[in-house]
Amino acid sequence: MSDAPFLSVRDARVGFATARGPLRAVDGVSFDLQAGRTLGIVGESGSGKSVLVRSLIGLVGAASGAEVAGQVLLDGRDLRSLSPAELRGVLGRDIGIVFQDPMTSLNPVMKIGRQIGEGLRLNRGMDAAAAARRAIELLAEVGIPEPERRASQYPHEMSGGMRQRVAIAIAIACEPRLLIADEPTTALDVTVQRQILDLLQREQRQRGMAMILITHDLGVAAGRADDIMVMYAGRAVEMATTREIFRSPRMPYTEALLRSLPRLSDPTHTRLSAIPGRPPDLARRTGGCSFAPRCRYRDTRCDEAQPAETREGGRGYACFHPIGAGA
Amino acid sequence: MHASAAKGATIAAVRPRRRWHWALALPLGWLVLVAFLAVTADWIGLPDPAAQELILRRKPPSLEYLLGTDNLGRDMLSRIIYGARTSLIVGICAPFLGFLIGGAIGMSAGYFRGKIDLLAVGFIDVLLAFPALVLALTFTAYLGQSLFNVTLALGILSIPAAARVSRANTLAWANRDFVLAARTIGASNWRILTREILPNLLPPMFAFWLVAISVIIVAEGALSFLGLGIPAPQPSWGGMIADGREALDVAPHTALIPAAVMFATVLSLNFVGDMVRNMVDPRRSAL
Amino acid sequence: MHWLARQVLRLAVVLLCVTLLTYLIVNILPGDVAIVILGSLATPQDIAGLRADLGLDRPMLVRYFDWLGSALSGDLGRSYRNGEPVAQAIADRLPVSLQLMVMAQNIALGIAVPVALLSVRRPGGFFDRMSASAAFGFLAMPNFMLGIVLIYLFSVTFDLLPATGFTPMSEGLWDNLVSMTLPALTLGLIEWTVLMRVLRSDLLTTLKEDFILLARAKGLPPWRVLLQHALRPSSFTLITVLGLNIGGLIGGAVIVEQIFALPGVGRLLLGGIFNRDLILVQGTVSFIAAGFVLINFLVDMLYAVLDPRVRYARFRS
Repeated sequence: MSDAPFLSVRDARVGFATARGPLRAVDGVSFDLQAGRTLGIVGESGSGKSVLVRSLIGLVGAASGAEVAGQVLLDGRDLRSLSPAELRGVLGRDIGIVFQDPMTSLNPVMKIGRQIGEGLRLNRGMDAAAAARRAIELLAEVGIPEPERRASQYPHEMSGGMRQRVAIAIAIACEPRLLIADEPTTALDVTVQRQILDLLQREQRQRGMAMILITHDLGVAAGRADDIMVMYAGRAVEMATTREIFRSPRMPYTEALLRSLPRLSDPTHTRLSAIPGRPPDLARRTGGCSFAPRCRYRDTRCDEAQPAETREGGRGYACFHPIGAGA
Repeated sequence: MHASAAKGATIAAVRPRRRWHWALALPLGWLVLVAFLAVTADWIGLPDPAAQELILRRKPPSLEYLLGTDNLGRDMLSRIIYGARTSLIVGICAPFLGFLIGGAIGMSAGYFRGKIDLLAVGFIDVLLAFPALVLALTFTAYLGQSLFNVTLALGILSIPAAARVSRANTLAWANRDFVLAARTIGASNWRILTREILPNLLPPMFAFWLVAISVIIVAEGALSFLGLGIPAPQPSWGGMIADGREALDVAPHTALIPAAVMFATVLSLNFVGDMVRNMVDPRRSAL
Repeated sequence: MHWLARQVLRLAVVLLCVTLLTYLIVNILPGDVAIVILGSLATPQDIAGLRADLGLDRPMLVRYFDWLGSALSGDLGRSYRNGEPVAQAIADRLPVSLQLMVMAQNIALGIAVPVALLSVRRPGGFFDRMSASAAFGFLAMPNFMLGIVLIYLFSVTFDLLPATGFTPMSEGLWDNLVSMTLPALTLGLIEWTVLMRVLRSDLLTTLKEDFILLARAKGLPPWRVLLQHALRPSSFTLITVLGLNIGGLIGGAVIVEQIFALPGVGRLLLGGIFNRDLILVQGTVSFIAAGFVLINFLVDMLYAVLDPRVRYARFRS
């Protein structure tokens, strides 16, 4: 395996023109991802995590009214320099995506088998019969019983967990090298969540894919991601391995997130600690750190300028008052 | 969920507020002109629309006959203007009648529900079971052709649409808290209907009325075209087009001029109607 | 099946009311029929005598049920004018009217679907705005006006297509189609506007759905996304509108048959009205209205079949 990262993003930006002025949903995010590793992108609603990832692969772009900038290298290829047709080829063959709500992400009037086989026929050149057979195999692989029968069913005939398994089957059908899971368990029952995450992890290990796991739930990221990138208001405020994040968070936001996780070991009636305030309006950015209004370590410096990224070994964070490191 | 926020932001977020732009001037101007001429027709010294001069039949437009003459030598300009009068009378009164009756039916159905609603919906269904034109021409054929009967027939045709709009809106409003509040202070049904519900029905009804005007004008034109509308010799655009059909090869203006006038009027009505609807009720879908 | 039974019952009631209403309107003037048959020089005794013979002195409701009974067994009476059985006259002319309406609908769809798809590729773009303006313009045209204009253009000016006259299919398919072209165009060129708007609106809504995003994420080219994923879920309203439009199509057929002298049911009806042929009019209007009700009923059923989600929900209740 080469040392060069499989996915390399530099200074990604996404902006929308709205009635209230330009809105920067993603404001200069950079990260690397090695093959075979899982990156967990963690953040609240509105932090820009979904928009970031979708803009990287071209699902959010000029056609949807967004301005996209930055460099995206997938296995050495600059995705931004590709023509639309070439980009579609990369999407189909090398990238697989699982969305949050399988009820809306599956076509309600198309049979399951066909939805799985579609990508195979287009990107792997299979004929209808071969694609249908492979679809049944994939359904079995993701743990759906009676796959032949299920392949001729419609999404509404299945439970939520099963539908998400189908979505995963679609995502891995063409043997992608990068798997993106955008809040894959948020719409599911808790009991099913773990099964789906196990399935994702198993598929990733078996196929050696790089994986991006987007979630607002640190607990989900904890068990499944190798590295974690914390996003807030469109910026990456901290990035480190999972261990480092949980052991020694540097960014006060990360610390606050960790503190707000309820623990079974806490005594009963412990008050849940929440982060006061609300995420900022991305159309009206101030000059200072976006988290400052809610941060307990805030001082005048935080309001004047945005903290630049500090590197510490393999990790990074953007704060004037990192916890645990020298101020 | 951020995904939906992104989706929301990607839709053309800025919808410009409708203002009066120059494009409105042309259709509005045409409508004002037509209405003005129709109203003042008797006083501007037009030749008698029924006066035939067979020697001068089918003459193309000239200085003396600004729009030419028709197949019986009658002055086209004068006939068109008097025809406008007919069209406007029918176009405005018929839907008005429809909305009076249909609106009342719909309000009763939506407010009182139960058997009244069932009856009303059934009645509307039966009216709607006929293709509109077929019902209208059956009416005029057997009840007699006259301006009044045509207006009546087309008015009856407007009842279902009006009833549906008023019923749907009444259903929506009748369950609101302020109606409940009025009931608790002992207001009678009549009072609630007229004071609370009716004012809220007026905007959508008005919008619908505007649409109906152009539909009815076309319907009256169709009836007259078939010979089952306004009886000759009273001029009507539809009738003129029918008369002109014979002479398409020798004197196309006899058919094409009334056709163009009718088209321009309907187009202008639709255009202005759309603009007004956007201002009155912008939540409407873009249909 | 309980739901289905209720729909059929409702259908029967509506049909009953429709035929009754027709009968009432048509027979509202009592004197006509006998005068028509005997001529205006007939004496009052002759008129009374004929009316008794024809059973016209019985109460209207009795006559109605009499008529209804015969109608249900296929006998719609005989035309006063030429004695021809009404049912037969309708049957002879029905294929022409049906052909006209089907051709018109096909032309409308053939224009509406591609235009909607192309408009939706770049919403707000040049083609979209042009097609919206064109739709607005054509929608404002009364069909009789368009018919006249088309005749003027294609018949009088360029002599490409016949202005009147109908060639039955038995005398040659090509000639038949040529004779039906202008009439079908007259109806189709107005019908497409409504269909296009509805389809476009539905497509735009569907394109915002997540499964479209997933389809793009599979690397599918935009055309395939449109045709294979967006089109089918967007067609439901289109089909409903197609059904709703049939009423307008029938009315339009009456006018078009008259303009182009096509021997269809609409022209039969108009002829019956002008000739004061009550029985003929009674039978024809009832037939048209009943047919219209049945078609709407079938469209409702079709809707349930096409949308698997609707099918699932309805037949469960």
